[in-house]
Amino acid sequence: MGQPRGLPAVLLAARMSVRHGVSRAWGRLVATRSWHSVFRHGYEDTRRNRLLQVSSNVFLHLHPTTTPASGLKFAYTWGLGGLSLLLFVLLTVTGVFLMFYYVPDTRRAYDDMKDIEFVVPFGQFLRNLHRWAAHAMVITVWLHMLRVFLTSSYKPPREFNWVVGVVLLVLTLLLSFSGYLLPWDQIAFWAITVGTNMATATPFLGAEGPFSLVTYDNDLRFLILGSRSVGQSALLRFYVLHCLALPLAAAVLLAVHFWRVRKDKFSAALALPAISGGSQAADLLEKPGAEVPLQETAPAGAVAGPAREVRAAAPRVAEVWPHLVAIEFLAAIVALLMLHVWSLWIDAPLEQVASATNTPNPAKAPWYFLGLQEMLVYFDAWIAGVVLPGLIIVGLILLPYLDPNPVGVGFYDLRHRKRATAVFLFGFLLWVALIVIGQFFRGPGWVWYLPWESWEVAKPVYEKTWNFPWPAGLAAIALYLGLGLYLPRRLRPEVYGTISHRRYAVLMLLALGMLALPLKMLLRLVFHVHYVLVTPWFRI
Amino acid sequence: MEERERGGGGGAARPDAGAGTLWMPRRDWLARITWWTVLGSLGAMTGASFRMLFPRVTFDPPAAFKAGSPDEYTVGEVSERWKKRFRVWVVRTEEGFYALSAKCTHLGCTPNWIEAEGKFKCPCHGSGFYSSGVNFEGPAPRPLERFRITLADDGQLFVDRSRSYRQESGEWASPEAFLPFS
Amino acid sequence: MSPPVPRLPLRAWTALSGAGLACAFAVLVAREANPDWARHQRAFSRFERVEAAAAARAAEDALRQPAAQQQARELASRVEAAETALARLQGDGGYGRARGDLERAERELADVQEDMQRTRAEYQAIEREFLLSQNDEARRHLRARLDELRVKVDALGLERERLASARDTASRRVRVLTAEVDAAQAALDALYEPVKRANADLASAARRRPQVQQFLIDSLERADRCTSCHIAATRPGFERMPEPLRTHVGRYIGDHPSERFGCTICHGGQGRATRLPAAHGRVPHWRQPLLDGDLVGGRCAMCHRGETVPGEPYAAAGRRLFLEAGCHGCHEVEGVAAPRIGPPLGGVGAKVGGAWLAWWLRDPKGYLPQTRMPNFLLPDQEIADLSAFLLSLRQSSSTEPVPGTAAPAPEAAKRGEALFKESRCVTCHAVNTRGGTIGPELGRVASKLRDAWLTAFLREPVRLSPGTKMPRYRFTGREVTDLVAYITAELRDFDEQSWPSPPAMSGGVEAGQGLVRKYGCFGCHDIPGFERSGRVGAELTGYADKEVERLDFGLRRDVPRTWRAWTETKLRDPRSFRDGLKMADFQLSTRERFSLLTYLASLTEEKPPAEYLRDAGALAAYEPEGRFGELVTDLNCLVCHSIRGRGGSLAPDLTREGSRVRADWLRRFLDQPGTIRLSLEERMPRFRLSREEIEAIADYIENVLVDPAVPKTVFAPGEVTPGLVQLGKALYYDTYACDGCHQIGMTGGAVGPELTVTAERLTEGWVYAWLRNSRALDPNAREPVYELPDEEARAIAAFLLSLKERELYRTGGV
Repeated sequence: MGQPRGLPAVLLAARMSVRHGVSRAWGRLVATRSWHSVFRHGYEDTRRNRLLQVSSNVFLHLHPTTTPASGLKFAYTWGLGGLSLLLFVLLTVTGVFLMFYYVPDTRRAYDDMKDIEFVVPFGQFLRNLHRWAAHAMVITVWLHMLRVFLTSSYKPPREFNWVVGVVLLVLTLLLSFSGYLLPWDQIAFWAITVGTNMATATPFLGAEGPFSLVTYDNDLRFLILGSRSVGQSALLRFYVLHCLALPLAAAVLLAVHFWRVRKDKFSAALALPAISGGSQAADLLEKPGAEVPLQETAPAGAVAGPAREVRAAAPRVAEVWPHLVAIEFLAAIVALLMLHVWSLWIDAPLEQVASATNTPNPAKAPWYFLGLQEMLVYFDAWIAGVVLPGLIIVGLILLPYLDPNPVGVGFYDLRHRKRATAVFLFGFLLWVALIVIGQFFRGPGWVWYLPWESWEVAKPVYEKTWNFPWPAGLAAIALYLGLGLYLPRRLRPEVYGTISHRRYAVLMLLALGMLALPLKMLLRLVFHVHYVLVTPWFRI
Repeated sequence: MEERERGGGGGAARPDAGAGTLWMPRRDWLARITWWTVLGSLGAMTGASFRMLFPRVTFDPPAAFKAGSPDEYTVGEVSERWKKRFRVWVVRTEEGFYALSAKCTHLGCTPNWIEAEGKFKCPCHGSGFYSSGVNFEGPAPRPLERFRITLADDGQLFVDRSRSYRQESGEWASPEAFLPFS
Repeated sequence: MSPPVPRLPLRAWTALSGAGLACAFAVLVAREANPDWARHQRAFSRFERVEAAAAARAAEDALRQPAAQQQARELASRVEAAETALARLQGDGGYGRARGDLERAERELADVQEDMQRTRAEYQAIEREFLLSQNDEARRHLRARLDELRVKVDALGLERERLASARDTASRRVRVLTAEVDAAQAALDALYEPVKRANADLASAARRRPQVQQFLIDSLERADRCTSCHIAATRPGFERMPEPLRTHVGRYIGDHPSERFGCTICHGGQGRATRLPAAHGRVPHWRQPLLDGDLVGGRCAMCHRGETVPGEPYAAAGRRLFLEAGCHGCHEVEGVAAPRIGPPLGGVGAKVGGAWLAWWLRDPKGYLPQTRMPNFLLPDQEIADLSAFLLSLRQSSSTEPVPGTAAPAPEAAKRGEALFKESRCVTCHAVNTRGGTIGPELGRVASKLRDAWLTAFLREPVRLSPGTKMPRYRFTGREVTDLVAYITAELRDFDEQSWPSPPAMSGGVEAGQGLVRKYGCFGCHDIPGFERSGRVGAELTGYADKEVERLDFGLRRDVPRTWRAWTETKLRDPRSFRDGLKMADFQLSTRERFSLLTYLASLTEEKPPAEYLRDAGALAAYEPEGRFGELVTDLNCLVCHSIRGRGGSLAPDLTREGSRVRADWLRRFLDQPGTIRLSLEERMPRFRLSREEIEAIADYIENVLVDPAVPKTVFAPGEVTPGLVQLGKALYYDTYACDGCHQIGMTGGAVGPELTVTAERLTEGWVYAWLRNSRALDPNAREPVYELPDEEARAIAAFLLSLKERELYRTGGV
């Protein structure tokens, strides 16, 4: 035992003196005024510093400084919102780098893509990252919406934030769609051709829509493409939208979205076993002397009574820094890791250069629009491409205003929201099913092919269909709508009688619209009915 | 009286002009004019921006072209010579010529001519058309459109894609939808 | 109060994920840091370094040789001596003073130049002020100043000139003094030069870092990066390296600099890619994969239109075959236009017999193995229908027998045979495979043709068979009868009984017409009613770029899904893909199929810009005019002769005939054609031309078909002396031994034309011009190009023109 001698001693002494010197220098640096002008609080692990870390940082003060422990539960949000934001930022960063090598000129865009893949160092990886992050973002955004629905976090007072969220969803899809065109290969060109051709079928505003008021030179499709066909002007417009206009709009709306989350309080914070009754109860907690009632739909372990007692029974509160941030950090790293591995492994597709006369068979829309393309089998373009998607968006936007049931905010309450959950899930899963069909079960000629069947064997499409004669069709539709509006109120007044007539009508019409799709699919697949109603102006 | 007073002036008394007059405190007038002009300008700017999105000229390929002399086509032939450049099939029958638009009436893809089966087949959703252009299978709702086809001064076929004819509206009977030639 | 600090699992997970991310990055960087092209370039650099090191060592070794050492020592001492001498001069003051003068002169020159610049700048500033000034007084003042300055500038200019020349003189003097030292030093440096260079090469090879190499060719709209891996492709000297470090074979790179052509325009592949397999283009979604090596030769045709490229016979052969076999009749290819290859069928009903027709339709090659008509594999009913239709095609041609002919006597046949031989029909027509191939085989022709038609044809070929190559021989009626008698008697198939019998069922004319439309017979034959019909086969423009997804493999599962396999199968077995296909069976040999394959591989959609194209010279097709033109058409001269690029190659080219032959000889010849090569039997038929016709032809030839480069006269009066003739004779026999190929009198070789009749036949100017440069007059002549100097050419010409035919034949030689 003893001090080390010789060289080890010298090294040890050197190391210690270096450390000593460094820490002294550091101490002096940190005490300067310049340092304090940037970093306004210390870094020692005190409670004060933890709170300041969040509240004095422009990025972190997105979060509150503290949150109840329930807010830390990963299995509540699954980090989907944060993940969406992470992906958005990643897409922006990778997008900027890609912009250094890409020119939206139809004569060279494709070659630029090849150059990115082959002569830009890490170009292929960057491109993969961008594309897979884009797909991932579409998925996380949808799942985020599903989560928000299932935890009733759209119910008052959070309705407007849901609407902002729906708009963000649409922006995400538009961002993905506009970016899809940029590689200017066959996939891109034909996907956008199919997608924008649906715009020609818009009623009133499309040159081929029912009751068209415009010509090919000034209809909705012309507005989108800047020309009568997908070409240079479309590429440039989509580029500007994709890189500038849509991200800006999304950024602004994101700010609003986060602002509202903070202002309305994070919904999980309300899922305190102590409290029942949602946000009204939370508000009551603030008022001294108030009585917090026990609701029927209270989660397990809820207590009722004077606000003071309820508050005391509430579980502890955690500091956001480091607890929430640590979880978020882990989630971010895991997400990035998965994305990176995927990008290392699988290359983003790039087919032949776009050719207007060479239609690939089949020509498919981007996967998130395959649902619409599948619907085209059962409905004309103006319904499948314009009316139904429009109804979907409108329906989503109106959802919070149509849901009369105020319970369940802040936790997954399926027991007391059976109908709402069923309806939403039905729509959601139907959408997913249509995408799956469009992706895996449709081959050349949009004919049904099982996923393992080779596309080389051409399958004939000899489908004999028939149409309802127009009186019968008119009657069927009237019956469907009439019964759909009349029966529920009649048969279940306790449920449907409680809301206003206007609301009820809107709700039922949307539901009937949604149900029309599987019904039409049934009519077509089983009974070979092509159109239920044929008029000279439109067909249903 | 009081209820008609707006925020405007600091309680300045006004003459009793009775209902129906336009007299208001000056500040209200100013405010109104300001708002109307400002909003009006903004509206005009928005309108101008919207109009800006519709260019007066597009750079699509030219609409009309000469398709060679009639002798270059066999009777019964569906010629794909112009398909690539102009998206048109020139068909010659015993009676004469017509020009079919190679744009599927379903969603605008370019069908293929299958010589062996004597039909046009669209790869996007499987729409099928006879050589006359009439649809008979798949989701296409109506036959292919025909373009105006005439004989130019130098004897060549002249196809004008800016004028199209739809069978379902009876327009195929129009004299310029079909060029008699034998 | 707060929950405890994040528990270990969270931190552990975070650390683990972070580590995973770091790993992912490490993999990414590793992949990016060592791409294949860098590997290849490093290997190549290593090789280069080794070579450079060896070269340096060799150079140093060379220097270490005693001889080199000795030389080095000598040179060094020379340098030393020179320097010493110079040093002495230095001390003497000569060199020193010269150097001092030079330095001073340069300083003064620099000063004056600086002065000049300053003065000029001042001048310009004042001039500007002057121009802007409005004030007369000021302007006068300024003008005065300007004048001053100008004078000064001029003076300085003169001074500068003087100083400059002084400087030059001084410099020259110094150089003279140092000349010896400089020369000696230079010699010494030259000795060490190889070593220095080799070491510099070694250093640069060592320094070279891997980089993507590319040829950016805007005119072809491509960027080819092939040389990132194929480093030495454009550098000679690496022929033995393994691929991809090998030099490109042949002289293609030399002839086609890569900065202008790149690589992919000929080879296909994905030029912008930098790693396999993408770079070779054999991946999905790339339409021009790397061509198989044996097919690359076809790409020459993209630019070398119509001409044969040396070393690449297949594409040209393929193109020729494409036209000869009549592929263009059914398959359109942009830029390929050729007449229909088959005979017109306008009057075929009156021309051929039904039995023959049936056999022919069933199996053309069975009747005539060398025919170009393919086998359409027709079932019996179709043969019957087609026969019915074809036999119904009778034009209003006169097929009545020639009046006044009774059944021909046996002497007629004998006379006919003699005439047949005299007329040299076998020049163009083979009889039992012996003879020419311009016209049809005649061995069994009587069994095919109807006599009446044959008779009418021999009288007026062009009227019966428009577009025929057969000239109008102007036979008399009796001669025609004799010929027909001979042909009918001898040139028939004596075995007609063994001919396959025609189909039993009767055929419909309408059905036959429908079959003509179906099979597209009008692609090769002119058929009434189908003159304006198009082509029934698929268009082959850009066929080489056809995506394999658009090729119909039909029922054949065994064919590999490649362009090449499909095309080969189609050429071998056209109808095998599915039922209902119409392409005929051409029974091509393997070599022919490969030629066609190469040609088809050359049909890309690439349209090289005009500056890349090498057309074989699209000569405006020659059209003979006037009376001459009428006669040429009637006699079909251009079947055997060529004029200005148009015509056949059986007989001499007549483009310069007017300069070549003498007028009287030409007229004699046209009246009674002889031959100029004694070894040949072929001669021009005697067309029984009238005086007027001969005159018309000769007149045209003399005035139009001339070459201005051929002088009309060569010798000055009195120039042709016996001495000159003797000299010529000596040159002819001794120096150049022309008699090895040419005959004079009875002696000499038989390769070239006999020269006995030179004086009679050829013009003076032609003989001389030919001896000077035969290639200029006839690029295809077999005579080696001697390019005789003027005096020798004149001498030999004099000699040849002095030959007198009669004497020669009498004396037996010279």
